Amino acid sequence: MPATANTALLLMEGLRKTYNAGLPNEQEVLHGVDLVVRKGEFSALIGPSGSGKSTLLNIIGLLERGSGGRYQLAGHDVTALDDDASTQARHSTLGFIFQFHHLLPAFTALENVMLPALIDGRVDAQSRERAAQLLDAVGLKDAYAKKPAELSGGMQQRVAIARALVRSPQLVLADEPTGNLDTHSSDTIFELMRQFNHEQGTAFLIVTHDPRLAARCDRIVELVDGLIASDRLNTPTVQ
Amino acid sequence: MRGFELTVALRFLREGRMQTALIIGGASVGVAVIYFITAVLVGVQADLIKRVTGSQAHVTLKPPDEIVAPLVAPRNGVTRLPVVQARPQRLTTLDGWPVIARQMESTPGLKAISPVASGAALAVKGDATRAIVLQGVELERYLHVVRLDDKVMEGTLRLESGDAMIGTDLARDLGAVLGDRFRVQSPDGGSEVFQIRALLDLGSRELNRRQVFIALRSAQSLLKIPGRVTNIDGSVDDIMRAEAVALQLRVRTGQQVESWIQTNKQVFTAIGNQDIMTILIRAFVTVVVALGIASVLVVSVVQKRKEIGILRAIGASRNQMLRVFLLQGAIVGFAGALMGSAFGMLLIAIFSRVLRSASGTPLFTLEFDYTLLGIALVASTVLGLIAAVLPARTAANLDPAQAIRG
Repeated sequence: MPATANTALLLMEGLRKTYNAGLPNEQEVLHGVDLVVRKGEFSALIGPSGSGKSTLLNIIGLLERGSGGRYQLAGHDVTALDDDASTQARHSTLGFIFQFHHLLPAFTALENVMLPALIDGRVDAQSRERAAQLLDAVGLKDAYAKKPAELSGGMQQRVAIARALVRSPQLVLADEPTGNLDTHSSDTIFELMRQFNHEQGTAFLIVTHDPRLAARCDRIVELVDGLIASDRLNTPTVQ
Repeated sequence: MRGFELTVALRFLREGRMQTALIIGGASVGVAVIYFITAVLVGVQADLIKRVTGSQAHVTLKPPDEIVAPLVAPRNGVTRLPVVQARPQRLTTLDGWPVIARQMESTPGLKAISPVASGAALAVKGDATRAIVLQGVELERYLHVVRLDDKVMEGTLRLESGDAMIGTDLARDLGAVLGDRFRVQSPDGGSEVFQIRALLDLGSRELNRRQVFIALRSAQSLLKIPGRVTNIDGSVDDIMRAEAVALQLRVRTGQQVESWIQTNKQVFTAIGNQDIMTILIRAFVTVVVALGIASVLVVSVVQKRKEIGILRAIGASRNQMLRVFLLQGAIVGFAGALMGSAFGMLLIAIFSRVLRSASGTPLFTLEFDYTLLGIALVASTVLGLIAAVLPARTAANLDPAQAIRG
């Protein structure tokens, strides 16, 4: 399926990543990854431990830079951006959900969701309203004022989803979003991501170990030993 | 929520309760110590200067020392090296002192002057004979130069002819009490009886043993220098500038002028050394406080690695993280200065009751100084900011990917 300029959100060609370049312990983790993610796509990125999934996700998320190859995000070449520019690009295009629902413990649920707006320097009734709506949408209407420590793991992850979506990013990167949750909570989290995907057209790229979860995505990309081993469309199984 | 940096800085500080309390406590103690040291130093110096200058004129104008000028006729081709013995100094007087006094009066910085006829003499009472220094003064004028009124232990200030005011130790040596009479004999054969009108405590045993104040005219006649004076004493507006005034007087009058700074070199040197010590102590305290703030923030950066990573991932820039930690330093510094000022005032209030000068008066008093408070607040805030530079840079340069991974 060829990607055209207006449907491709993410375009990666021959991306390589070498750690400790030039040192005796030099190690190439990614050996030339080609990947296209289209707008509104709901994909899973699977692969065994050590296949380079996290590294790839970090590079896609502009938290790390590749050592070779080309990377284009939302129509801009972001291969070699400096720190400020990649912060800017990250900020306007991407949302993150981490495995361990990384919330800031000193902030309430609502404040955690408002953090991106706070970083942008616009904290007004509107951004507050938006954060509250998202918390309502993830079913945490009564938890605005609760600190992360007062929430269950599943609830914390729902706050993290709300936070990832508050800036209306085009692509949400989720690293094992259900990794440490029970089945019921996992389902809730998955359904919420699905819901935002349908309703707002947000693309999701979900790194997961869970075959059950991958099977419910529209596309499954498999990374083995730093190379894309398979990339197939999938008809979600209804559970 | 306010600005991102301030909000996060305050939350981080609140989150690390114990650490924050400890470091603000540390900064407070530092600020309080600086306050306290400053107060003590100012008090001690003021006391010292008061004690030294209290019973002594700030500047004293005397005729130039008599020197020996050997009359040796030069001879061609021969260099002569005469051995000259210093001549003993006689009682010399100021020629035309009213003119000199007038020249002195318009000198800027000089407050008041008073002519003095001073000389050595003997005090005799019964079997007791003591060497004394006669100070013949016009009381009214002299009081503007040296305040004797607060040195009267017994009796009243009064110097008519036949009256004398003497040091307390001299009275004891002579076995005399207030109202007693004693005889003064001058080296030139003058002799007169005086009645003790006041006993003075001049601040030092040496002075209390020797000083005898009598009327100027009586002294002139006893010392056989009628109508003349031996020196003119003066007081200045700013005692620390006494030397400058003395220099001016030297230039104007051509006489020899000594300031209290010259005659009390050790005291003045001591004051200077105290200043240096205080500056050193302040500097060390400042460095210690800065290191304390820095070390706590370094630990905080390590503890908050993950949170810094998250903030970076959700869009915070390096500079924003830098400012979050710089602000924490500034806030800690500011809070430390506020609490330290209060603590310092408390220390001063308590110790002003405990620490007293030799005369029993408090060494220093609690004065609320807004300027000092302002300086403390600004300096401490800036110090906190500087101390935070290193940790803040560490925070800003954290690799977000690594930080999140833990």
